[in-house]
Amino acid sequence: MGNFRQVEPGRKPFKRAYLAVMLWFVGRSIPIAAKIDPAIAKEIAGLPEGFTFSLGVLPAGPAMIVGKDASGRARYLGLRPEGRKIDLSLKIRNIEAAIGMFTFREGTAVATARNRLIVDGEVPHACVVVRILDAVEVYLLFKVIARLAVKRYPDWPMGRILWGRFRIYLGAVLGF
Amino acid sequence: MNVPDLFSFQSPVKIDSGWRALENIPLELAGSGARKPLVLCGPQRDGTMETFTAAFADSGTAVVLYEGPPADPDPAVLRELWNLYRDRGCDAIIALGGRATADAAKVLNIAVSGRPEDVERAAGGKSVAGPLRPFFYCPTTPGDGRETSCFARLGKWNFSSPSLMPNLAVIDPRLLREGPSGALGAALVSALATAVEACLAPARNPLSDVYAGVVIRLVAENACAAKKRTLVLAPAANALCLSGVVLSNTARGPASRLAVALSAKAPIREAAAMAVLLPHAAAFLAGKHPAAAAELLLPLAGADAFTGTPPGERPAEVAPRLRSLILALAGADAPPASLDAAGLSKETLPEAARLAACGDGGLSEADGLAILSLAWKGTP
Repeated sequence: MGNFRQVEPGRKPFKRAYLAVMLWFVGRSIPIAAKIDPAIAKEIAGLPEGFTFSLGVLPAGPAMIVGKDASGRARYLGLRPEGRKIDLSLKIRNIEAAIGMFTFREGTAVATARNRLIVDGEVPHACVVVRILDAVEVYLLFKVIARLAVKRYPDWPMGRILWGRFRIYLGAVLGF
Repeated sequence: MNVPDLFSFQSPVKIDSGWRALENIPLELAGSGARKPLVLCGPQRDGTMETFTAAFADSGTAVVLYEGPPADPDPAVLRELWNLYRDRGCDAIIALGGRATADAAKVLNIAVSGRPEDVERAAGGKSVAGPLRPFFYCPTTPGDGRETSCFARLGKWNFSSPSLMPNLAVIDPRLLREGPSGALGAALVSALATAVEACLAPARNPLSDVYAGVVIRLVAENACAAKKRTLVLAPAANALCLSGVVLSNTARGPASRLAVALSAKAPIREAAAMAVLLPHAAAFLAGKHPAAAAELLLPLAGADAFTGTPPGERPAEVAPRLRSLILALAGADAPPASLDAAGLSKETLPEAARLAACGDGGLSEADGLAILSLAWKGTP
């Protein structure tokens, strides 16, 4: 018998932790961005009532879940999709692909083109979610970084971006 | 587009190519219903195994690594591998290496999908029963194109079945190394021959044209970068993987048959014979199928050269372009200009033509001799 050995899969705890924090922060930012940005509010309004979407990393997370409640407002619903009815699930194929996206080496559009994302749900809804995520990234990130993350950096007034960024950071951290 | 009355084309091979493509393997395994692969590892350079196993981190998928399967495993080794596969609870096979590793994995797949005795039964071109276990191929050298084909060879046994083709080929530039000197150029010439002969074959079909056209474009567009080999390893590996699919779906053409026959009958390597013969075989086939040859010029020479060549002159332009491309691929190991220059006696040609000839409308002995005579003189 030649040389054989069984290799158990290793762990990437720091990358998982980084992704969990990023997803938590983006997830909490979406409802606040919907409050302060009419374009995002309009995108949310176009989604069906009770619509829930998740963005997560295969095979076992982390993930974030955001939904639209009965009053039409976006809500952050936590990190665990288990036991929830998810209408649209965006799954990143592996943790390295997710790290590439969340360290902004690959934008969402490029990652999709490179087959790093699996979409389980309606494609028009997925397009809405990607537009929402792009807008939130514009608020959250400095222009030099956001330009790597989004397909086209919008031509918004500086005041809108700075005020929105302040409100979203404050709201996401403090929870209001 | 010319669609024949009846044709078939089968390609179960999915290709995942690019930076960090390895990290997709656990998900692809899960999609195939597998959880624990047996990985046959050919000879590796430092760091390759670490890169490979790191791709499974955080996936929950354990792998069983079997390092250094013999290049020519005998039935006893196959039985040991079968026992290892069964005892360790494996449910898929990954070949990490080149041709020899892929062939060993293909044959092992016949055994683990049934019983070890099935291997002997399947040898010699007999049918392979049923669908086999998931089989992935990760090249660490570009290989020779047969890794993704429906063919496998194990000692004196030859196997042929679409079931042997890998379900997935993972081409990750982090794993790829050039391999022995001259091997990459020879492999690309072989892939080019497979693709050119598929385009010029009487039984060509739209799908074989597409696959073969991509192979030719990948080879032609990256040949100019051949001096910086590391830059062309991933395109070369893609071209070779696709050429395996083309090879599985088309009959072998005159250059391939004659090169094998010549190497058996005369002191010349098959790769060198192929490099000399291919332009002549292409010129011969272009005379028989001028419309197909004219279309072949597009992937071979590019859009500018194609549109700049009058339609009537396109078939004649194929052979000189092929010759230039082969010289660019060979680099410092330039092939001889003719079979005469390679030191072959003219008396060996009829015997080689007879050996290469096949019935049922394929290459006739007279056609083979005509191609060999042109190649011996070295014209055009």
